[in-house]
Amino acid sequence: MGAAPRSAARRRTGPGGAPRRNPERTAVVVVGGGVVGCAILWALTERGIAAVLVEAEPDVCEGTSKANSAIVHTGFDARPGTIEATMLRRSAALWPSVIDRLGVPFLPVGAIMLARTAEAVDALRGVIEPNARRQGVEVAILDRSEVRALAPYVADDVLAALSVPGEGVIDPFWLTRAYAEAAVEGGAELRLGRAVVGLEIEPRQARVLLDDGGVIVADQVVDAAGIEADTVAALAGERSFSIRPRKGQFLVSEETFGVDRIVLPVPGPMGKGMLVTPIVFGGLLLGPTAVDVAAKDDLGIDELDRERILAACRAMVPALAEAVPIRQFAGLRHVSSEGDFILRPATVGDRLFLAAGIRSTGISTSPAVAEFVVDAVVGLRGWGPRPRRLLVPPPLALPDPPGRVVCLCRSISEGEIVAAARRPTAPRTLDALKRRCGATFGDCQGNLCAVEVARILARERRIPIEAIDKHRRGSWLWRARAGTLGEPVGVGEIGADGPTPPASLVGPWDAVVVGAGAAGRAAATAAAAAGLAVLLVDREGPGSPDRPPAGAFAAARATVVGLAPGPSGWQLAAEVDAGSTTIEARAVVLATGAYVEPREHRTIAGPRPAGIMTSDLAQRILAAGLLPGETVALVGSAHAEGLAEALAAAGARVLRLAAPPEAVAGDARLSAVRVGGRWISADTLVLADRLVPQTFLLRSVGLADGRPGRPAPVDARGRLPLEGLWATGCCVRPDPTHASCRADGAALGERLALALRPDVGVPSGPSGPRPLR
Amino acid sequence: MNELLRDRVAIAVPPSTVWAVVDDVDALGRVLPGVESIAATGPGAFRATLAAKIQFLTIRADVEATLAVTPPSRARLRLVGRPRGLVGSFTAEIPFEVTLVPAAGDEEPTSEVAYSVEVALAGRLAAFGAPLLRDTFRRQVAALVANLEAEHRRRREAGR
Repeated sequence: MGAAPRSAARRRTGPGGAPRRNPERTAVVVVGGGVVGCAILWALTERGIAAVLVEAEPDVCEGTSKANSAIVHTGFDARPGTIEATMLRRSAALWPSVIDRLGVPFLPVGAIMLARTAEAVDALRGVIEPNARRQGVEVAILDRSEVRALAPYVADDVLAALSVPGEGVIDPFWLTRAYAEAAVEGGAELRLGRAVVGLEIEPRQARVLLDDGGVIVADQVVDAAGIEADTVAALAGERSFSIRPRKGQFLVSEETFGVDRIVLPVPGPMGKGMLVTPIVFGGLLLGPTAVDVAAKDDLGIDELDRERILAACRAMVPALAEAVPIRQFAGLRHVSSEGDFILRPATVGDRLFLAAGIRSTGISTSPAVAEFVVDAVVGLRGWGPRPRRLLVPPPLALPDPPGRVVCLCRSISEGEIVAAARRPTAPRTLDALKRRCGATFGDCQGNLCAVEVARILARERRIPIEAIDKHRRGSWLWRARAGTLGEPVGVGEIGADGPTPPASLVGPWDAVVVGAGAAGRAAATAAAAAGLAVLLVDREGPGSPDRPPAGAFAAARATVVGLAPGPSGWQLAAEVDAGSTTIEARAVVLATGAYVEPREHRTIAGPRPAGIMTSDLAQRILAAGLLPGETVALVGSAHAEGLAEALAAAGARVLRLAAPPEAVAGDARLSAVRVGGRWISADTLVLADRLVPQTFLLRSVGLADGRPGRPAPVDARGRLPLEGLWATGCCVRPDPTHASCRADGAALGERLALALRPDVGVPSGPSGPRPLR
Repeated sequence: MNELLRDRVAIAVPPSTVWAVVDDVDALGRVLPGVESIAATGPGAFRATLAAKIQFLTIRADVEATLAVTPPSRARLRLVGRPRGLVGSFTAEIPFEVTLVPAAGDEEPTSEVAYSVEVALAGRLAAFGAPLLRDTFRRQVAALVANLEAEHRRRREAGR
């Protein structure tokens, strides 16, 4: 979205009434940094036309382009004769080249439209299939047995289906960014975080007034401002159309349940229905709903729609009954008053070209819309035939070695984060960085690593860490506390040849214990006392001051990122300060602990502003010398006592809540939480009430699926289903006391010793050998 | 290990050519997609640097490979590697079986190769997701088939 809020008046002064700066000149200004705006910027630049893109948000792809099904449609169900259908058909021809040149993550998964009633079968055969063929789209009707052979996960009541092999899924962030980066490589300019507050369309030029006092004079303006396209146009007096927002809510499941293609129902009288859509990087997208809403910033989520989505998707794919959504979000489609795409000059003058009303196929039609708009603009301005340059984004350059692991859930290194921060569309916010490299996108949703990730981004941008926002303007993450900023984390030279990891780590060990919390240390101590050669590893270092080393075991700071069977039993892929290494062990004990369940995994209604975090993040923010918020609603008691005191000591006003709120409110930053039907003002919500096990290491050996927070599946003795793997502590039972963790760990260490060296036995301590569970 | 892929491909070369290439590290260097360097490290073993394009990213990996052949038609390739610039490692087990497909008349017989790919991914590669890796592997296999057929043509032209 490229416009200022609706209330913004056209003005000739900058902020604070300062006079506007001398105008800059360019050929074309594109307003709006969504997928369509960025595609137009790319197409203009390829034709050698100087262009500037203006976007109000701090990153491209912050509006509708980021919150949709991410499908590249064939147009098989497009309404014949519409501009949309024409654009879909033309795009189908352009996509192979666009995907290849831009290097965008894309999967040609295909789609099946399920008919579960006789009426739906009739619609499939009588209307949908013939329409698809008229559009030139390859489709095939499948009978019941063919559907089950192709997609055994669909419901038993499916009678027939339409197969559309040409449908695919893409990464919308990557696509939008790739368009922008290729354009920037060709000389185009991005103005991110700059809203258009005035637009003057004159016979010989157009003037674009920005909220920072800047003025750009252009031969042509293209309005690609998405949901705000009518707001931007109205700045120039153009009122020939309007845009209504239609909200769609989605759920994300990391587990796919075998679904390998887009699954959708035959549309009914209530609309197109919900889809089950594979995500390029794994997982499923469920939804969307479709509800007309009044406000263009209504991105709230709610439990009712969550249940509607799950019910509709379960009806098509019954296994989704076991789905554990890790995220719920909403997007707004643009419904134009013209009922179709609006691709034409404005009525107030042809120096404003409208690329608006691009309802729900913006990604799919972006290549053709860009081509059409640029052809039209070239024609309007009489710029004549223009040779085309082929522009691509620069390749991603990853330093090797990659550096320390920063985001544990996704194994993302500092090197990857730095590489993302140095891209041509340099990320300015935490979410912008997340979309470029995946950091903070894992199970914990950034609650364990956001401070570290932001610190690296701040260093790259040469700004204070407190100036890093979460996403939109005003979405502050934390406040500075004067004189208390922590020391910058030492990083070393990324990509430089480091020392070789010490051979002493490699083993083979009798046992490696992963995690130096109470359970891990107790397990290591007991196993070592029984004569095993034990290595205890922890990513924060087992010898850190609050965890002094004890017992006759070796200890090392190392981040274990994967497990695999090896010649000695197990191999652990680990990152240590000196680089990557492989540790060999006969047995592995996972004591990887737990994390507080983030908001994204819960059903708390409302929008997704900054300021909602778990106690894991709040503690890290305090440890960095920052303040998580000024008025903090703190949920929970067992894990929150010390935190409440620390927050108060740091200057926060703390409101204790016994249970999570039903809903939250806020735009860029949290403004209130609703408890028992009553709204309470707070700029920060800290969840400290519910721990979930941290077990994602088990995914690499097939013992855990994509659902987060599942306990390690141990038997009564602490053994996992694969020989030589054990687990103890919070990753097995997420809410024990410190003392019970210690007891569980010690008992497991003794059992492990007996299992590996039955001849040695377990020495009697003060309390004697423990009984086996 | 998790099974990533199970498939079969037709190759327009006779099985004898497939086995001859498998047994020749220099020929392997020509037909394996993305080989930047390759050297034999022992019987049925080699070390290589391989580059694979995952659409948006070309990953270079240092790989140790072992190939165990079970005559007359089966073999198992094991790759253990580490991607450069990314945290983590991977192990891939690729058992395959080469079957002769007789041809009509004077035409040369061809091969059908049935294979599966089991992987253990540690670290960053695991976060790329199975669909994208499966798609990448299929592309690599398609390139390998094309390279093998080109190698066969070269050998035939050279009279081998």
